[in-house]
Amino acid sequence: MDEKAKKLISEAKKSIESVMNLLEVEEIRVKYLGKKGEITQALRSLGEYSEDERPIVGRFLNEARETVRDMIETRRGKIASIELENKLKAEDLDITLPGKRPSIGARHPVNVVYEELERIFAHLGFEVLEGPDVELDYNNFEALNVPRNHPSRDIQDTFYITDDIVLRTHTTCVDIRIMKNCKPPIRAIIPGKVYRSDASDPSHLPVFHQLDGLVVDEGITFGDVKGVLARFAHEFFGPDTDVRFRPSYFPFTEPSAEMDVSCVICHGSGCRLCKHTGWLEILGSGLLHPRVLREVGYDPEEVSGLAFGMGIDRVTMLKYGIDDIRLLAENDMAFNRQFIHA
Amino acid sequence: MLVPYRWLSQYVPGLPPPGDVAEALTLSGTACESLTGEGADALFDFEITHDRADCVNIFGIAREAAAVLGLELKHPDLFVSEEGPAVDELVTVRIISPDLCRRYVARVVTEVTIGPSPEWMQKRLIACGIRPVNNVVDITNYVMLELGQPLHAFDLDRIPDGAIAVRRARDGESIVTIDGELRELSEDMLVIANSTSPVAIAGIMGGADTEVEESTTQVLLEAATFDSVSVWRAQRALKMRTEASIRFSRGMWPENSRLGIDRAAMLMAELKVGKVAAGRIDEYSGLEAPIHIRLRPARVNRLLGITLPQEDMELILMRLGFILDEWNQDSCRVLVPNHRMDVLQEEDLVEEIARVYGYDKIPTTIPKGAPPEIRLNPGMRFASKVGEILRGSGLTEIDTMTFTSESACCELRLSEEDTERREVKISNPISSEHTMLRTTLLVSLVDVMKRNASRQRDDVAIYEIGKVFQRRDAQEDRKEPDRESALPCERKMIGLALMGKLKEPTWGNQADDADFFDMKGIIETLLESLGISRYSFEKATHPTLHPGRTAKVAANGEDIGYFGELHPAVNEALGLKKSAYLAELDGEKLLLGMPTDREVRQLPRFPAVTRDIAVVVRKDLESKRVEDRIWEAGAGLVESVNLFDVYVGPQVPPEHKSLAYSITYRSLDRTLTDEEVGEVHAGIVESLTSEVGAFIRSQD
Repeated sequence: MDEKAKKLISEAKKSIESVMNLLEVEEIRVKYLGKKGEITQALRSLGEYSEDERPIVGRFLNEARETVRDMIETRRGKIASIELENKLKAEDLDITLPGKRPSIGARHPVNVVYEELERIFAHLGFEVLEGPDVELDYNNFEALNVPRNHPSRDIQDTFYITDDIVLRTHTTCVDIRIMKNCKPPIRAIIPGKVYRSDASDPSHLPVFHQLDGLVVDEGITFGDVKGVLARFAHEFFGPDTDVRFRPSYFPFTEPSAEMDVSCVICHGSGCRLCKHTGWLEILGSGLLHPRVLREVGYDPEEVSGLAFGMGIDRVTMLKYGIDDIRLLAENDMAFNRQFIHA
Repeated sequence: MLVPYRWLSQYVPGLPPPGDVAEALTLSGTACESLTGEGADALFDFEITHDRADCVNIFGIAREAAAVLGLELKHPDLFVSEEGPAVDELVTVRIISPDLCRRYVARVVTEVTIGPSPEWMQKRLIACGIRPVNNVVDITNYVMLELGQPLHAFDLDRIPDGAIAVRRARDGESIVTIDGELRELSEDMLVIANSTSPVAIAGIMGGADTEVEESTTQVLLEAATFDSVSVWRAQRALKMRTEASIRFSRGMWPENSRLGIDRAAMLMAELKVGKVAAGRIDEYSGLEAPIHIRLRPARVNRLLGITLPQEDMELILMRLGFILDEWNQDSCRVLVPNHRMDVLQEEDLVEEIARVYGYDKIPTTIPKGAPPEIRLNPGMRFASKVGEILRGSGLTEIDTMTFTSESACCELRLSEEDTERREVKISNPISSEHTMLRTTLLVSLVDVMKRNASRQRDDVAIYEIGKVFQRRDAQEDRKEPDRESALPCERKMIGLALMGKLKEPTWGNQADDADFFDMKGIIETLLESLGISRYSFEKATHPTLHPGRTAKVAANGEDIGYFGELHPAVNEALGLKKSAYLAELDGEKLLLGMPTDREVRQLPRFPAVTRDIAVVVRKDLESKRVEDRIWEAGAGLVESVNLFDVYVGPQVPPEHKSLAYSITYRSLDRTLTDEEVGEVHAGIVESLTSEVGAFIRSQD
């Protein structure tokens, strides 16, 4: 009996160790441990043994069954890990293949910059207001101290719809609408398209974008003009930017100032962009002209106001180093798609 | 304006080096655009702001420089050595239109010898961009550059009896000007005339007949103060911008006419051009009241945000030529010098003080008052959200000019309704491509696709949020043209366009060209993301779009726009290589349709059951009708209906299609049993069979 059993175990061991996949392991399990398996059968036929032999054979066969089962499980585990390893090996990827990207659209650079401006001025308490592109001559010019049939109209070349209706030459005309409809305090920025009858060239478009600002309250000072705009310049162009204000002329402000910032390219040492002056002209500003205040029904002795206006296209060009304004109106996908990062 | 440093320094002894002058003038409002040349040979180019008519001349700049730098100002020599007869024996002047000519000063030079002017004068003229002609003309130009007073020299022998009239042109009158052109004049133009006809267009150009030539022996010099508006209008009407008309348009002060004529006469005598007749003709009422302004130093400080002592303000103003008197406790009277036509009120003096004190010395502050209550602009937030959704869907933002033209509208087959009746036309267009404002975003979208296609960029997915313009139907009210209602209607629209591939085809993903349903899907995504769940599509037509592939979009029961495939004929005419899909949605209606707040739905607590069904229907039956039936017959237990396959082919009868739906059933308050679902599902099958003539191909 002993011999027989030993042989059984050694044969089982041999065949278990020779199999290479889980299917064959299962076959071996069935062969020895299945319902009709050799060990199972042997255990079933224990009755054939004598009373004395039966416990010995029984114990032996039980041990054999445990041994074979362990061997099978061990083998199964080993094969499983080999198979997993093989599977993982087979699933190896060339991770340098390009990723499958969802397609994402890009923002127009003028609007990227506009949103940044809006954010900066929102922090200073400005709300966003809008007005019509097609505007009464009165709001665009007359109320802003530019009379009809007057040489000062030469400052801006204007598209007319009728004698009384123009395509607004600035969003400053919305200042008039705001002031006529609201009581101070007012703090607003006014973005929008503006129109000038200029032919397109690298620095002109007949339609471009302007951001105007308006603050009206008691005690607004010229120092406030400087303060608000210097804040903007430092936020937008960086904290190290130098700012200077020069006297200028706009019919609707007095005193008036032009704001320059130190050149974004050469930082003041002089280059082609700043025409070797070290400065870039950014915007016009000033305290609202008393005639404008009176025109909208305010008393210049009671309230004062500041106004400023800048070309969004121009600051966009400076920010991104764009040298031809027409690129902003062409919408060539090769250009617009570059602002996917913006 | 070009200013040679050497010439400038003649009036300002001790003038600092050119770079310092440029800096000081720039920071006080006379911007130096460029500075070329070295040392005494330096040449400035100043940009003179529109209000500073007194600075469009070298002496005016010198006056500024002296005031700003605190230096002494030396006036040009005006002593005229006169010889010969009195001027009023030779010339008479009558101002017939005093409203357009406040002052007319004349002198006469006799025994004139025409020749070249001295080299130093020629050099200065050339440096300032003026071509030397002869001694007489050069002196008039020199004085204009020096003092800003335009002068004109007539050949006096060509003016019968030396009789000059300053009057409006008569209807039908014309003149041949020095440049040889025949100019038709109109009644609102001012002319200088002899007894019968014009000899010069006032303030713009003289006539060829009376031009000073080699043979000239007697010269009549004119220095006048013509009305700026009148000269400006005439220069526009005649399209003649001359050195003189530019200066007159900005404004001239009567005192300068006398200075100008004397300076010219002095130079004529000194340079031995001829003999200056004694005296001058001076037609001038001189009745203009000087400008006085009350100045309150406290207000100056309040507006500027500084605390400048009164004495400092006084000093600044005096250096600029203002005279201060009548001091009382808190104010004084300021007399404005006559060349400062731009200073009319206290605020103008505030700027004068600030700019000489130095804008850089004014401390920067932030407005003190509490900021007003901010009203968040819902339109701005909406536009920014729409942009985010569309960019997330792969569309790139464009920003276009709002112009279009008749021909561009015709190209898009837009009806008369759009192009002729409602459009806003520009009365003075500068290009044939930009003659009116767009009535639809389609023109701009197509324009961008066309431009990209012409540059081999055939895959375009774009959106624009922009305005369209439509004239109102309102009757014209001529009596009140300034009314708001005369303005066109402006609406913010959302335009979408797809052409070619939405995605770059890559190794695992051979992207197809965009089609109708890509566009529809983007619109659906947009509406869903805006929280608008009640929307529908209905077949429609649009002149620019494919008649069988156009839909209108409704949200909350209101039409909000349309979309479709660009009409193949238009596509071909535009030279596009791929089919294009366009959409235009009304941004304002969408904004109003957005729910203001939404409640979160409870998560489902009971399991769902999904059944698939394939329905065969006639090919022309809209799938929406099938879907509607499913919902209706679903007894409130249908949670979602998903069309996952559309099949046309040998497995279904000809002229039929198979629509495969996956229907999910769920109850909010119990677990559905198989029998319950089976019953509802059978009801749906029954309804489809009887109501839309469907038969069931398969179901599970």
